[in-house]
Amino acid sequence: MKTLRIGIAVIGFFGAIFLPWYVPAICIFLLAVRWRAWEAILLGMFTDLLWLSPGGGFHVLPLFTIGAIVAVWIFEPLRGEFLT
Amino acid sequence: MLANLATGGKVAALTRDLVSPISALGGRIAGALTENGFFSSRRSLEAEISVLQSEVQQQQLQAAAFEALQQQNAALSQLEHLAATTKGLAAPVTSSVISSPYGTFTIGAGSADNVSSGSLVLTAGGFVIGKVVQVQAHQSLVDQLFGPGVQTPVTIDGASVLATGQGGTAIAEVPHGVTVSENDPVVAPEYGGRSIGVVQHVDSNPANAQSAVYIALPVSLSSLQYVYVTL
Repeated sequence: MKTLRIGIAVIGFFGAIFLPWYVPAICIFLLAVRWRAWEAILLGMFTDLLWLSPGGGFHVLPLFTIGAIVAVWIFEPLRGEFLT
Repeated sequence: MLANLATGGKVAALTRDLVSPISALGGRIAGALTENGFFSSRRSLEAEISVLQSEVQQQQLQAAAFEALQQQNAALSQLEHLAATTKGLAAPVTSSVISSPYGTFTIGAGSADNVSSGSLVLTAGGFVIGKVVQVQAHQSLVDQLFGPGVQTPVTIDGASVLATGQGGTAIAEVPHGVTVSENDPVVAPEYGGRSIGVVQHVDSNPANAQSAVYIALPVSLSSLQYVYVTL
């Protein structure tokens, strides 16, 4: 399971650089569903740091970081109930 | 075996006699093969093949490098005419244009090349595809005009409207009275009257108050290797 977790994280970081944006998004989701994954939040932050424009408007929100934090937090009861 | 025993081993001796010449012949053939250098030739041939294969690989690498240079040259040649009319420089696209969820990408030119925040980024055809929003020494972040949620005031067939990026394309609402056709240029007055795309499709549903005009670039952003950055 540890290998799977590392594998998903690696795909996520690789995907953040080279693959369409939904690849890291899926990896964040998968990590957050199964584990209390700090690396999902790191992946979200990494994606935002890499691509987020410092301009104003809609782009100012670090959606991936927020999304990762929310995903990790929102799946905590589910993990507690079924996976631990 | 019984016959051999009965004859006191004569059958075995006869067998050995029969086999002996064949065995000797085999030995002579083997000796001849080794003495005349057949295997050494084979070894040298194998070595030669290995060297030739490595040479072929080198040639293939050189051919690939040459082809890459030709493509680079062709891409830069397409940007050449822009340099005649607009001060700027050609910069390579250094990131994937599909990876960013925010409609951004990076180019390989920065403050060391006099690129500044707000510089326009053009395709070889002169279409504005974005503007520089963050500058580092040798790299800059570009915000695409067609990035999600990016709004740009544009003029389509004389009508001033707001184009909203949707990630690769943009959409604008045009009053029904304005005649808009496919492939009409979409001009952005705030970028010196340059085109930002062409009309790809017009949805003139009379049930809606306005026609939806879909705007796209005539080139695929993913295929761009170089862009022109105004200074």
